[in-house]
Amino acid sequence: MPLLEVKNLKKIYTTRFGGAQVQALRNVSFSVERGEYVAIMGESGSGKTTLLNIIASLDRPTAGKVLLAGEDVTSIPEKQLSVFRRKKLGFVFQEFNLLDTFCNRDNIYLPLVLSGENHKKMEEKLTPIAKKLQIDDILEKFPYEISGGQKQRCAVARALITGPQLILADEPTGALDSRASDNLLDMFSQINEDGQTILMVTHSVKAASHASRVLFIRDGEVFTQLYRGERTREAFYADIASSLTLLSVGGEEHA
Amino acid sequence: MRKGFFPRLAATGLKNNRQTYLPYFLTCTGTVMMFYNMCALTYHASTIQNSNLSSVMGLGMGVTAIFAVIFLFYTNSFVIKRRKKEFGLYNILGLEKKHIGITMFFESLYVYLGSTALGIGLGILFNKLVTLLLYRILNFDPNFQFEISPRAIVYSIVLFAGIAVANLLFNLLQVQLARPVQLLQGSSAGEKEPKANWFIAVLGVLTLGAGYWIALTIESPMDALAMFFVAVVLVIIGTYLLFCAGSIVILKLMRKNKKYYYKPAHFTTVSGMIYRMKQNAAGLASICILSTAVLVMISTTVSMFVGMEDVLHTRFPQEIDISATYLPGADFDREALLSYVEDTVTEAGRQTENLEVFDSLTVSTQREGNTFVSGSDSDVSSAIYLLVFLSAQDYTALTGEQVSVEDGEIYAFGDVFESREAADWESIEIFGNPFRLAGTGGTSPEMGTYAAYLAEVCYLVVEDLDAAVPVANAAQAEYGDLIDPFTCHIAFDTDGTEEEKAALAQTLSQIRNMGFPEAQEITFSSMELSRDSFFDLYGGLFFLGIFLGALFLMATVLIIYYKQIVEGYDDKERFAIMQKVGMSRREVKGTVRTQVLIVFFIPLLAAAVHIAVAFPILTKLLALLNLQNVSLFGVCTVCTVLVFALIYAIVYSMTAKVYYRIVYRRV
Repeated sequence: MPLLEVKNLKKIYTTRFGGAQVQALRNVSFSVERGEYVAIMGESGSGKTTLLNIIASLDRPTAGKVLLAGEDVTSIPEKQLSVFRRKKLGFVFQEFNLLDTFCNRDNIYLPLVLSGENHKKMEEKLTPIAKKLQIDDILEKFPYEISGGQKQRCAVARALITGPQLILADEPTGALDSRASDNLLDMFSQINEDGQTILMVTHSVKAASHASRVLFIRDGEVFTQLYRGERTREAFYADIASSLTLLSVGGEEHA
Repeated sequence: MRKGFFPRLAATGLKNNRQTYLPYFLTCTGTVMMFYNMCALTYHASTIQNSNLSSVMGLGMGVTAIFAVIFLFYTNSFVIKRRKKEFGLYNILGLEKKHIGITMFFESLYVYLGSTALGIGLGILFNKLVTLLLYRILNFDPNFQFEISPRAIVYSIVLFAGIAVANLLFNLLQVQLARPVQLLQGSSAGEKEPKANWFIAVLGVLTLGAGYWIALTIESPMDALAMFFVAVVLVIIGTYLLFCAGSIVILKLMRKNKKYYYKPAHFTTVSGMIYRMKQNAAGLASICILSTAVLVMISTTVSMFVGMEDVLHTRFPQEIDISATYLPGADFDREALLSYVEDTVTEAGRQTENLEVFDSLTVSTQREGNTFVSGSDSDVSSAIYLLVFLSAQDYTALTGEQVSVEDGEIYAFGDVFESREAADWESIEIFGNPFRLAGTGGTSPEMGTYAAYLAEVCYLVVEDLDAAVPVANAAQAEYGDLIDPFTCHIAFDTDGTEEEKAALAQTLSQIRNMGFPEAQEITFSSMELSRDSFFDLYGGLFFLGIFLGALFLMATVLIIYYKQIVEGYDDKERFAIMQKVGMSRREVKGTVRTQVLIVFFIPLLAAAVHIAVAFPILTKLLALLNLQNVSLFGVCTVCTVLVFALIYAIVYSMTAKVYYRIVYRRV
């Protein structure tokens, strides 16, 4: 059974005054296996973020299902949603979403504290993650005292510390310079190698080239997908770039 | 640029920032209205005729003006902080700072013209009500002349123009000094975590403690008067320091306790509070001080007003009090004075009741053991003893009791003589004159005349008042002219209606201008004749307490409102993030509520503590004003605190709604 199954997802937005309807997602279906590293690409307005929000249970679909390890995310009652999100999912956002009121350590602890975890256990959980992400020396600092790359690594630590089934990353390199981006992507690869399933939405070909599979979305539908297979990252990069060109000039579907 | 562009830009700016400007505009309007009213009352024809009332109202006008300056400056700084971003945008879009300045000028002009015109207009309407209220309190003839005061209008226009100009200059300076990028960040700047400053926190504890200590330990009303303002200043400083530094220190200690801190209920609240306190400590301290001021003003003035009859009776134990002074050893004929008074009363068809007639010598001293000496060069803080010499004959006439004293002896009444220290005193010395103690205790004369004195009064009965002449001479040598010479007192009540009493008092008051042989000076006081001036003073203070109380309350409400808005915008982002990383809406709401409640009710709690501690010192100050009814003051204070808490809670629920609306708006 795949870890994540997205079945015939449809999302229609109605503008505020009830006028025009906007179809953000037409009919999206795909699945993600355990341990996969999947990137979703597409132009602005193609529906990527809507898709991610629905998978993250932040938004509800008009029709269709999202199954995480067999459990239908879309039918979880509102009250249990935050617990579900906290325990099963880890989020990494473009703009980090770290709280300035907490030091980095407390930012990372936040989901655990909300779950009522003992603080000794939290420390045990944090130590290996902090080491892997090379943030052990900035834990006591505050988000406004560290660089963007460091912030994003703290955010990744926060996503990982609950031991989620799936990491959802929304443009994680969007606010980083190229060196910090490379660094972060290497870490994502490393985490994935350790068995963590990652679903990432991105604009960046380079970011996508780290994934094992890339889904291309256009006009609310999965347009095509590419598997990396045994290719080198450079070769995969070139393929992704040409697929994107095709996507934007509006070519026909190919396998 | 085209003519009329800046005025229009300014108008748009105001319109788009309604949520910030409307309260500011209303603040200005309200302040103008209050100032106009205070001013109009001060210069009202019937006020000017009345010296007590006009000085009270003048005081009120001064306080209102000072308040207006501080408060409008404070609210303006809120407004400009919120607008900086917009000005930064204009700057980046190509508007020169000069042009922004012109826009700001027009904005200020609109707000000034609008609020002053509206304020004066409402002030004139409201004035009728306020005047009616004041004159009702004062028992004035309600058919007063309602007038629009040109002087008050001019003063209002000038004062608020001055404030508007000062605020505009401050705002221009803010914009001038900042770079566009800074302006853009304007309202979100300053996010650093505050440092826990132990030194300042300890200093706060010390100053507050010192203020409290003074308030709690002061003994005599005279000291209370001298030290009250010291205590007030210490408490104000201490409050500010503790709110600013103490709160951070405590919160950081809470954060250090990991077991406590890493609990869902405490985690977000404690860390959120650290930031809140940094941004709001000064505002909260101000709310606390203003609340305390409101509570003190209203509770004291209300209890003085309600207790006015008490005060009158304390001040005038008997309706009419006539005294004539004469020099030591002079052959003053008190029977002549008495028969004149009695004849006048009889002629008026009235009768005297509770007649007290006695001669006395009163000297003011300080004590060293059983030696009473001049108090002129000692410090104010040691107790003053007022020694009243009476003849044995007058004592018997006053009390119906007898004491046996012989030549060179004294029979003493007074707390000091009952003290353990005095147990083995065989004699006392007064200004170098020794007296053997014939005895102490028993029925004290307790003459009304001295009831209003704040010093400890001791009655000393001597065989004949001539025995006190050496004391009088010695005292005169010590004090020079300050000494009260020998005095003959005639005090009594009369029968009849208030009008009849007043008419008699009027007739009797002529006694001041009559010559009696050997009499130095004749004083006359009447409760009936003084009642009006008491009413003017206490009623005026009562009115002022309510008026300024309302003004300060308005300020408190507005500070709270602004605080909520500013915090709402700051917190909005934070709570959005918390929801994203797995906090439920309900948890977010719970955290928000806890923080808002703490922030809201801490100042009220602190104000209540301030009041409780101030109670003893206030009681003593009221005693200076002849109000000795502590339980009345206690009831008034408790009622005031309760009513205030109720209003505060209502304001809370109203502003909290605004806050929640901002915070929960979907991101």
